[in-house]
Amino acid sequence: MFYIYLRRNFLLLFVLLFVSAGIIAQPAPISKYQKSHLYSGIEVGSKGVKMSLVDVNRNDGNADFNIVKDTSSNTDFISFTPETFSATVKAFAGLYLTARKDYNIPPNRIFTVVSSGVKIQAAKFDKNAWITRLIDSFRVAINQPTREVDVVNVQDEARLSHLGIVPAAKRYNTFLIDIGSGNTKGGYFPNGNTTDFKLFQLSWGTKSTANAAEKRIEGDVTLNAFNKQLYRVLAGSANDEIVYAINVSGAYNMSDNIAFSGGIAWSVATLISPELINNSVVPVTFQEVEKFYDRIYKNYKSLSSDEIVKKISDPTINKVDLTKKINTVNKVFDQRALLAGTGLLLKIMRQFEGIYERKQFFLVKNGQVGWVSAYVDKAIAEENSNAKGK
Amino acid sequence: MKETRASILLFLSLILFIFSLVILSFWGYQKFFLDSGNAQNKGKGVIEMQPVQIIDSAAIARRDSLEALYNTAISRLGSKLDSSIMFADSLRIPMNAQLEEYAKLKREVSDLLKEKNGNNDLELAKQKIAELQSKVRDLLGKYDMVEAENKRLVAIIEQLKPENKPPVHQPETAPAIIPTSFDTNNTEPVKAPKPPKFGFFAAYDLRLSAWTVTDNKEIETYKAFQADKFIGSFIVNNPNPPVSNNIEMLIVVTAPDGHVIQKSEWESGTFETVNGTKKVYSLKLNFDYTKGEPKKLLFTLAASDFKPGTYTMQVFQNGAQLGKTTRILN
Repeated sequence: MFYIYLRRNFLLLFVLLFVSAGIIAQPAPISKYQKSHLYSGIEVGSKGVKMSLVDVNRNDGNADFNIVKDTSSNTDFISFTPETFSATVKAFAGLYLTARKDYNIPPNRIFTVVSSGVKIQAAKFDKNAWITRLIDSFRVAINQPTREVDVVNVQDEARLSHLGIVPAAKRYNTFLIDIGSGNTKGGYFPNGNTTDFKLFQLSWGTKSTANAAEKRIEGDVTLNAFNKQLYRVLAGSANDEIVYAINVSGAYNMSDNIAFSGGIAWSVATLISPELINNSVVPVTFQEVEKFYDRIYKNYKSLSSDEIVKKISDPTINKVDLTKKINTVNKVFDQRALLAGTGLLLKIMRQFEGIYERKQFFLVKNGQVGWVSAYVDKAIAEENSNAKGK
Repeated sequence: MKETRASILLFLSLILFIFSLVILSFWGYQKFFLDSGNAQNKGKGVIEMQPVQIIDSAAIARRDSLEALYNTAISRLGSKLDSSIMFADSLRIPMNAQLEEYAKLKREVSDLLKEKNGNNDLELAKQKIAELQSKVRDLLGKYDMVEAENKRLVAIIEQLKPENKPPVHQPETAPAIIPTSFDTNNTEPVKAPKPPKFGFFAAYDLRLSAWTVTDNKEIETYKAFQADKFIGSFIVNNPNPPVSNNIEMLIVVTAPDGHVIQKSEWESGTFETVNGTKKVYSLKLNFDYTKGEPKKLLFTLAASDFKPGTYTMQVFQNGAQLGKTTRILN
């Protein structure tokens, strides 16, 4: 009898141990903050569906953001075929349910949007109905008929990114420029309010600049030839457009700070200041970026993770994490892509380098969650006003 | 079949027999050894009948716990009190009055705890101990203030010593210097000034102090756990300033673990020193400068968690270190 009792207790103990281990093993993201709240932004873009999980620390009315997870599924929605449509719906609903169930994020903290890129392409090919159908199918798939899915335009996207990335203290004197792969967009708030937004657009991006340089190469595929042609692209038609767009924007006179986001800003920031690996923003000077361009061209090996990590003397920096981040950058941007992107970045920065007045340049690493941050700010403001109402 | 049953019964009876034997021997042991032991004790008269005194064990426990509270309250002050009063002339009069109250209260509680009259006294003692604890807290707070003030005054005296005097009093014709250290905390000798480099400023009277903010009041502190922010200051001077009026100084405040405290992600960054090494700066100070005029610069630097140890503040201009100081937080 005693033996049976003992055996039962042991069984119970084992069951309890396994259950508690199972609870501990849930995919709970590591929070950087003590009073954190997890938010999610899911965006249907031109390439596919992207989900960002953002850890938000609310502190005396301000909110600090930390990207916990960034995942995407390439579904190529803008092909507008039945296959890519169903793949997009599946990915969209799948990521939403992942946020809901795996990360336990309530629906009011999940934001769902369709990007301006999709909107432009749909308008171009007269496929606006596909967007409406996508949103309806998504609502059915997640069983939420009233789910809000915003279709944002370029102006809204740039405005939301500015609101989400640039801190309130620098909001009205910062010009934000997002260098994408195919184009560049951005803007600033000229009138001291968040409704008037001056949009800035360029048809040049990192990939399009690199492609233009590649196209000019005839036979000689060396790096030297690429660099020469890249110089010609940036000094020619790209330069004309950049100078014109910046002059028209009036940003020079209205801004003290010029912040760059997008893939190239992230990669340059990571490689140029590995000491600030934990920062989402890295201040730089024109001369620093110029020197960095030379380094990519003449001493590309020095940008490997081994070489960079070797020179880090700060004992508080996690070298394993730093190595991982540098390797990711080097995987996304090869030498030529880095040259093209940095060349374009320098070309834009050059327009703000005055003899008497110098602007402060910033490279923003987490630009992709800019719009999510803006939605979070809005949601927090609403939650606060509701709380006060009660 | 029958044989099997018989063997089972035999086995069971054997077990029962062994079990009864065990019980019997246990009883025998109890009876023989323990009882005889008691009897021996009785014989020797070790246990004698005493006049019975009714003891309230709860009251004793309460008295003990109150005594423990009392002792803790007293020991918290310890020898701190004497040393702090020694240095605090300005606080002597109010401190004396408070100390008299404290001593009186201490005597009263001690007397109450010695008397064993019952619960009423214990209640009174409890109240008095609470009062004593609050007095101890007040005195400890005052002690911290006195200690901080004392350290600040010692630092000022150190700075006023002739060997630590900044080069501000040097004649205009004397070349501007790049001081290597005006350390207020450490005892390293101040190195001889180096010849100036054109455009570089001299930075002196470097100060770094930790402050705590309570009830909208800022009080200087030397305790890491109390610190909310650093306030740093220094004076710059240059008889031969660069052409541009807008000067930029970079401040590096390093924590004891070696990491640089950053003002914010948008205000901190990296720079290259004249030796070619890359360094993280805490914040940037931009200012306009008129030739030959000493200018005082101030900054604040908040951090969420200050650890005990030595904090270093360095001032850089164009990658060259102009000055350095340290601050120790306990």
